[in-house]
Amino acid sequence: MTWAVVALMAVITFMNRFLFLLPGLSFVPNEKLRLLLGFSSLSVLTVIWVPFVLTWDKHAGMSITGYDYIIGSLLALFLTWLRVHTLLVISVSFIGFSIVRWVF
Amino acid sequence: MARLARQAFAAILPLSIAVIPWGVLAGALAIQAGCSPLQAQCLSVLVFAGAAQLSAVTLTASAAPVSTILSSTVIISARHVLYSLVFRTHLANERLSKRVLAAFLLTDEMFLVSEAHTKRVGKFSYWFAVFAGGFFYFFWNVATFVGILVGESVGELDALGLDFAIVATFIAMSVEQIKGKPEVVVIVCSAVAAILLKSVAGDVYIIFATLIGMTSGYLVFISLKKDEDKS
Repeated sequence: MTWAVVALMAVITFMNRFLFLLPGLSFVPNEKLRLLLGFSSLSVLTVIWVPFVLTWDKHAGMSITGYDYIIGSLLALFLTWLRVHTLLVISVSFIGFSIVRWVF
Repeated sequence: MARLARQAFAAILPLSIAVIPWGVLAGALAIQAGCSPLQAQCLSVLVFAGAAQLSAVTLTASAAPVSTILSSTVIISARHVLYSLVFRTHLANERLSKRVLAAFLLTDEMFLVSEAHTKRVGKFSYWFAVFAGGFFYFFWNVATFVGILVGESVGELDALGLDFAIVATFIAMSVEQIKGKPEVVVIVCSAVAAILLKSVAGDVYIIFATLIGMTSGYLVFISLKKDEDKS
C-alpha cells in the first residue's frame, strides 16, 4: 500500500462524513425525512450484525454461521430484553459463545 | 463539561472495548499486507474507518488494483453520508471548524451513542458527540498500535471468533431501541434485506438494506399514526 492510497482513503472517508455538513449546502431535511432518518441507526445495526449469524445463498439456501453464533446471539437478545447493562450483555454472551464454540 | 465528558466516556466504553479486537486486527493485518508500521498507524489516525481499513488491507494483501481498494472504501463508508445527513439537522448553525471536527469523528459508534443520548435527553449535545468520538478514536488507535506490535499472531486472534463481540454489541444496541411496532418492523425488514442482498450485492448491501429497513419502519409509523388519528 502506498502513501497515496492512504491519503485518498482518508479523503474518501472524510468526504462521506462531511458531505451534508458542507457550509454551502442550504438543504434542510423536513419532518418526514427526519422521521425516516430516526430509524437509520436501528436499521444499520441490524444490517451489519445479522449477516454474521445468518447467511443466504441461492444454491445452498439459508444457513447459520454456527451454533456458537446462534446461541450467543440468542443469549444477547435475552439479556438485552431483561434490560441488563450493555457491557454485561457483551461479556456474558461472549462467554456463552466461547463455551459453545469450545464444546462443539 | 467534565460531567458531559464522563457521560460520553461511559456511553462509548462498551463499544470501545468491543472494537479493540478489530483495531488490533486492523493493525496486525496491515503489517501482514506489507504496510510499514507508520503506514499501518496512519490508516487508523487518518482514515479511522474499521471496515474500510480491514477491507483495504485484505485487498492489498491479495494484490488488488488501487481502483478496487478505493471503490471498496467508497462503498463501505457510504453509510456515513446518511449519518452526516442526520447530523446536518443538529449542526446547521455551527462553525465550520466544529463541523469538520464532528465529521472527522463521525463513526457508526459515535453516531449511535450520540443519537441515543439525543433521544434520551431530548436535544443534541455537540460536546457529548465529540467527546464520545474522541474517546473512541483514542481506543481505536491504541488497539491498532497493539496490533502492529503483535502483527505476527493474527492467525490466533482470528480463530477466537472475536467478531462475535461486534454481534453482541449491535444486538444490545438495537434491541434496546425497540419502543413499538415500527422498530420491530425495522429490525425484521433490515435483517431479511441484509441476508438476501448480501449474497447478491456484496458490500453495497449495507446501503440498500438500510434504506429498505428505514422505509418499512417509516411506513408502519405513518399508517399507525393515521389509524390513531381516525380513532
